[in-house]
Amino acid sequence: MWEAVLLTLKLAATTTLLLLMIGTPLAWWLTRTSSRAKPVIETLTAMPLVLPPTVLGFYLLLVMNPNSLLGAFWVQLTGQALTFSFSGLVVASVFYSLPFMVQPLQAAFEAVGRGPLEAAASLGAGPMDAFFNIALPMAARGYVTACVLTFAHTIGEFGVVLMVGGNIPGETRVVSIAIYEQVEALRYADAHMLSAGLVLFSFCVLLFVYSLNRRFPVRVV
Amino acid sequence: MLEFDVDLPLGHTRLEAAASLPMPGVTVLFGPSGAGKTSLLRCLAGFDGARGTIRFRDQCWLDTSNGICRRPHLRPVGFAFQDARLFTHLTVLGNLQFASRRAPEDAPGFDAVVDELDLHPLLDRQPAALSGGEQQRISLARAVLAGPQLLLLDEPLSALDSSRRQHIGNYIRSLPEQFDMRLIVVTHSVEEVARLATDMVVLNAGRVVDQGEPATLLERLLAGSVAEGFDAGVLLTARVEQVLPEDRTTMVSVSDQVLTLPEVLDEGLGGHVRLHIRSRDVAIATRDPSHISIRNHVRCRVIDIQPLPDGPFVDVVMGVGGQHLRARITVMAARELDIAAGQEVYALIKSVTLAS
Repeated sequence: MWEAVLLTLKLAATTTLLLLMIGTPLAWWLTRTSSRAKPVIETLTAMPLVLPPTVLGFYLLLVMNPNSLLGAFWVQLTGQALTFSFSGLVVASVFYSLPFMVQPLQAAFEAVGRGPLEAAASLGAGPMDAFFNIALPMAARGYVTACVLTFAHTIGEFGVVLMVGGNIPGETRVVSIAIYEQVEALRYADAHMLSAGLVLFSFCVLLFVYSLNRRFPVRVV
Repeated sequence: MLEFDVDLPLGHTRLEAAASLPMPGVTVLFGPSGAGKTSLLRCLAGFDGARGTIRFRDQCWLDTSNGICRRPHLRPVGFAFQDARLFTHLTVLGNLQFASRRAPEDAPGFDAVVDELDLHPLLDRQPAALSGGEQQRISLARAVLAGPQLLLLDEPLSALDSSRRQHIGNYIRSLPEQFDMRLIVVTHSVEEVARLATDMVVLNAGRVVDQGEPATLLERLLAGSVAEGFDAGVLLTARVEQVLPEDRTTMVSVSDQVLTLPEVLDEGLGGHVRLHIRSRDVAIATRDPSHISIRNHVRCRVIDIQPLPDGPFVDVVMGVGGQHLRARITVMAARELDIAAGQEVYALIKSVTLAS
């Protein structure tokens, strides 16, 4: 059981870290651009919110399996298949949790607005300088919200994991899968422990986010 | 020397401003609201994608026909925004250091600027907790500390109280000499023009309509249409007769008439000052009234009655010792008092401000 908990935390942490690196430039671009592609990219980013996880999982399975182009390339690169592996879960989670990182960040960057960045430019700060020293710290609370939500949402995923990861102990058997299996095997006591743990965890996370937003309502996402 | 010829769509109008400014010190950009003053500053700073050319000293900042557009942070421009735009995640000190750390070596010294703008008590504070006037001073200090060659100030005195306004006005005026800095200051206050300007540009409906020496331009403007709103009036030259410090008042004279100026002047007795008197602050009486709080009753002769288009008002132009006064009164009042050219009347002046 602890194996599943640890694996879940590792997956959520890796996903959050990767999404920080992907989500930051994406959210920044969405905030600043006047490109016509913006609504299209915004839509694609939001798709995982409405699609059943099984749909996302199904297509990821098709793309990542060792017989596909990408899957074969991955096998060549690492000697391992992307499907039914931890790496595959990470890739799937990144897609699945993308909106939970990008949307709060975009809202935070939009709340910062152009004003402070123009002020920074007029004081001689170049784009990178202004981004790291003005936009990023001013959007700090957006980052906290985004990371907490991404982490929590990744912990809660089930359908996508089942599709691309299966149920391999220590490799892809995360908490939600473990609960499913325990219930199937009628081990209700074990299922209760994990489930109650998740309920408690989710409550704490959301409470944290909401009270953070309540206490500093000015720069809220 | 600053030369620009810029073109930028502005909502339903356009900014199409061109001028070549000698820029001896402080150039005041004057005009009614919506004339494009702030937009012109933003073009000079490089924020909005204007087309055209901008040259400052020997540098080319913009030349769209040759594909040149120097980015904002590479132009030696400082900008004090009307809305201050302080960085809310930094303290006041942090805001000022953000500027001074990125400034060239010959930029104004940190302590001197902080002293001059009286910011020591605020250094540890968070910007969000400050008043508008305090934020404005910090924003000005931050822009000065960046050590720009061209400093753009958008209504830098608007949120300050009158005692600060005078001191900071003097400081702004001293900047070109202290540092090798040229200034463009946006304002629509005649008082600020007179206080700050060594050079003046008048903008109306997105175009430069006049430029030159401030005193001459102001005379012309005050009677004309650009200052049509709140500030329309006259400039009068008066002689300092008596300073009454305990009443915070100075008595000045125009020809043989004495006026009370609610301000203590540093000028010596017998010196000359210029007063700004708004038309809307002048009322007319056909006899000298008593039992009235207005101190300034000026006997003068009506020269002309000028109807104002599309409104219930007329401007009554009056002569006093070779100078002019203007009163904006309603058509109805003029009719009932039966005011006519040549008539002797009393101009009751509610408010006199110093223009220089």
